[in-house]
Amino acid sequence: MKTSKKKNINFILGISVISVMALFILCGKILPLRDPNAIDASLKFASPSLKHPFGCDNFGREILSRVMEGSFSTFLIALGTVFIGTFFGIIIGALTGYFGGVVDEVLMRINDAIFAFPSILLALLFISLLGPGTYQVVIALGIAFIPSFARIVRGEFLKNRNMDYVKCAKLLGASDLRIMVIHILPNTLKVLLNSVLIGFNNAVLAEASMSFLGIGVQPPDPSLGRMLSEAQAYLFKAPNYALFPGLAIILMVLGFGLLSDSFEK
Amino acid sequence: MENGVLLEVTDLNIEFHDHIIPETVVYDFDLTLREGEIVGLVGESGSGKSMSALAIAGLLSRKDMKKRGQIYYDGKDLLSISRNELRSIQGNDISMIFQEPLTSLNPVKKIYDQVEEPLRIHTELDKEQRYEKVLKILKEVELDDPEHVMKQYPHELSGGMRQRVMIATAMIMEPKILIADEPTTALDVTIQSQIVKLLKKLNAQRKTAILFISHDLSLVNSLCERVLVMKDGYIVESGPTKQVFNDPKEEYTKKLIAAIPKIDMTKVYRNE
Amino acid sequence: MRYALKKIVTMMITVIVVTLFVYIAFNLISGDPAISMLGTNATPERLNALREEMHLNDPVLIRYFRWLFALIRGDLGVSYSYKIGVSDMIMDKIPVTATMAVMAFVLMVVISIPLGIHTSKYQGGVIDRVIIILNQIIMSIPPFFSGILITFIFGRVLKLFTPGGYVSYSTDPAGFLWYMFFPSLAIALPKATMAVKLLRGSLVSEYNMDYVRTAYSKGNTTNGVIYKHMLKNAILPVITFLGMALTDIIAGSIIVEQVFGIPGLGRILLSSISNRDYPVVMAIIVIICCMVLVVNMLVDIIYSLVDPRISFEDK
Repeated sequence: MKTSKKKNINFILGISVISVMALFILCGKILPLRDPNAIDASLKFASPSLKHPFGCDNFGREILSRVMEGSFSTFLIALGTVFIGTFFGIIIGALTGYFGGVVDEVLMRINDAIFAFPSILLALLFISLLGPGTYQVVIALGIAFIPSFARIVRGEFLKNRNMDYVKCAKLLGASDLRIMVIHILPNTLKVLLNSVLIGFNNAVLAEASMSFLGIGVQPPDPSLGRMLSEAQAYLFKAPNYALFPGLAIILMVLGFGLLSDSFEK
Repeated sequence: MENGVLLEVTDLNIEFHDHIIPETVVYDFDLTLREGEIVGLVGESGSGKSMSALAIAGLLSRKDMKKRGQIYYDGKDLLSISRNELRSIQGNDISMIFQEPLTSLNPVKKIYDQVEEPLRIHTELDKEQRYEKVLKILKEVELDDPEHVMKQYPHELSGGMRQRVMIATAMIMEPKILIADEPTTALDVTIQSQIVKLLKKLNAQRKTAILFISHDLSLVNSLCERVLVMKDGYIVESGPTKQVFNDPKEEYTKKLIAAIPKIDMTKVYRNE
Repeated sequence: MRYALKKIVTMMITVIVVTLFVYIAFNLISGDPAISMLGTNATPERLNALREEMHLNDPVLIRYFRWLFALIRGDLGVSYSYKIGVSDMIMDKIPVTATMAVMAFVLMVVISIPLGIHTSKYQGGVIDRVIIILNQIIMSIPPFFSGILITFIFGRVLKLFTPGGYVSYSTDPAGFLWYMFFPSLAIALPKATMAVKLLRGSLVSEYNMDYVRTAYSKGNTTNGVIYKHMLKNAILPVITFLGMALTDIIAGSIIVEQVFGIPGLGRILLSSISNRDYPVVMAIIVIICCMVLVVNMLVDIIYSLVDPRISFEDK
């Protein structure tokens, strides 16, 4: 009783925070704000005001529109990352979990090996091979996220493949593909949904970290991580420069974190 | 208090408060337990028998539960004495064994440590003395090779052995009262009879009073001198076992007795 | 013992897979090292001579094993950019990153275990509620942002350390540790919050276990039940998490080093990535992976020591 009430609060809070962020990003797309990349020397380090609610940065660019644009690209990158991770994770996990055998053994060893890399390190490895840039980050992080999804999906398929409903479907002559897609996959969705939410958060944090290190979204396009790394030099002079991009990241992660909390059993 | 009376429970009511509407699970529970006697408490699951037993053992958490009535032991009301006083009685004068010996034992601690623990809590004995006591009690509960068993973990023992370990832990302080909450339900029938015989032996040798809780009437019939029948939180019938069995007054008790399988388990336990 | 041996063998296999993966990845995609070393306008003769010298014409597997055995001997290759041995470049940086990781790990444990116990014991109390809310927020802070916040609060406002300052461990060990403390805190805080959440949840579910009731029935105090019985059971999932967290800490130190301007492995790794100095990148990635693998193996072994059921099932 108590716990389910808490979960509900988490759900409502999570949805609200996500909605606020979505609205925020949407505003950046719709409202006629200043071009996030427009430079104006007269506005250098302008403090927050009615005209520039978040103030301006070291080039006189408007922080508000840059945070909006940066949040949008972080969101897209995280989405792409999770998509790659889940898509290939489901395929690998389903095949290995369902069929087992030597292929499973080999793929799982490789998976274990890749799992040994902290995902940010794996992403760095790919970036060093592919070069820095937005698409490279999506690919690098996406690949880095495959093993964890594959592992979860494999576990679920392994659990389900010997259940009675699967045996029943087999007896009725359903093909392996049909059993995997129509019968087992829907049963893994609940577990998968939660890991997608957690994965999304990790992707947001990883993308921000990569941009912070200067190997993500390339300038002059705004990204939250890079803004923070630039803001670091002017921490005392213009704390608002660091504050707003940081808040944007925190809110995004907080929203999805609360949501995934409310889905936990 | 009357001579020979160890424990006197009067008007025990237990109410739950973890839901929006408080829920009463035990009403007006009365029980007198005399030295060295075995009293049975029967009823189906949810009848409140385990709740009453846990309340007597002081194991119902105090936050979300309201208890009214008195549980007199040694001139003290267990419901109103301090936590510290209660703790000095728990495991020392009143101890308890449970239905699932596997989950009731700590999975990551060796048997020796678990059996020895009441000695550490309630006595000042040194290491050798404690070892002697543990060894003695493990022998007394008829465990084969007690020196080996004490080095093992619960998952390495069989169900019957685990329950013997539980009994050893409960009996090591030579308590006045042992509360046995369905101690044989999770065990095979042959092991059941061994455990019941062991309880009988300990009762005869040490004069420990036993409150034996079970849904198995034939077991209660073979073991207990007196019996209380519970239904929906109320005691519906009580009295000497023979009388209750031969001449049940309540419709519910009649049904329970009629439901006993025809094989006479009484003979199985008594004549062995 | 057999369990530990099995774990060590599994780890060796994983090391080989990891290094092979890294080696092949770099050899397939990184292009011709000879060109990387000599530049694109070098003459074909000079390139060929260098390829011969570097055995680049051998099959990839043979080159891999040559590289692996050199690696085991401590020979990490030669940096393209600086033309000096990679091991000379990074050996004195390893203690910096390792100190930071160990310190962050210790901080995480020291913060999370008492808090986890306290919040589970006083569920629903004021401290519990505050911690739950704080947890959720701190968990959402990326380590570099917590680094920036810590720099701002402890460095700029309270002036406890000079932001961007650093002293080497060889000149002033105490000062070095002091400068390591704040970055370690930045890495440890988000991880500690997760550990608190996990330990609290784990302990809360232990409260309902039968053996806890048994422990109370023996006359134990609540603290006795928690410390003598529940903690050892509840800590099991936390051990797995701590192992994973240590992995993240090692990786996180790369980023936090940038925030605090600490010359550790992370800084060399990043400059080597932008210079496309592959031998250095490879060496650092392999070193970090090996650290991670050793940590994972230790976690498995510690886990089996704490939980007697593991080694039993293995027999």
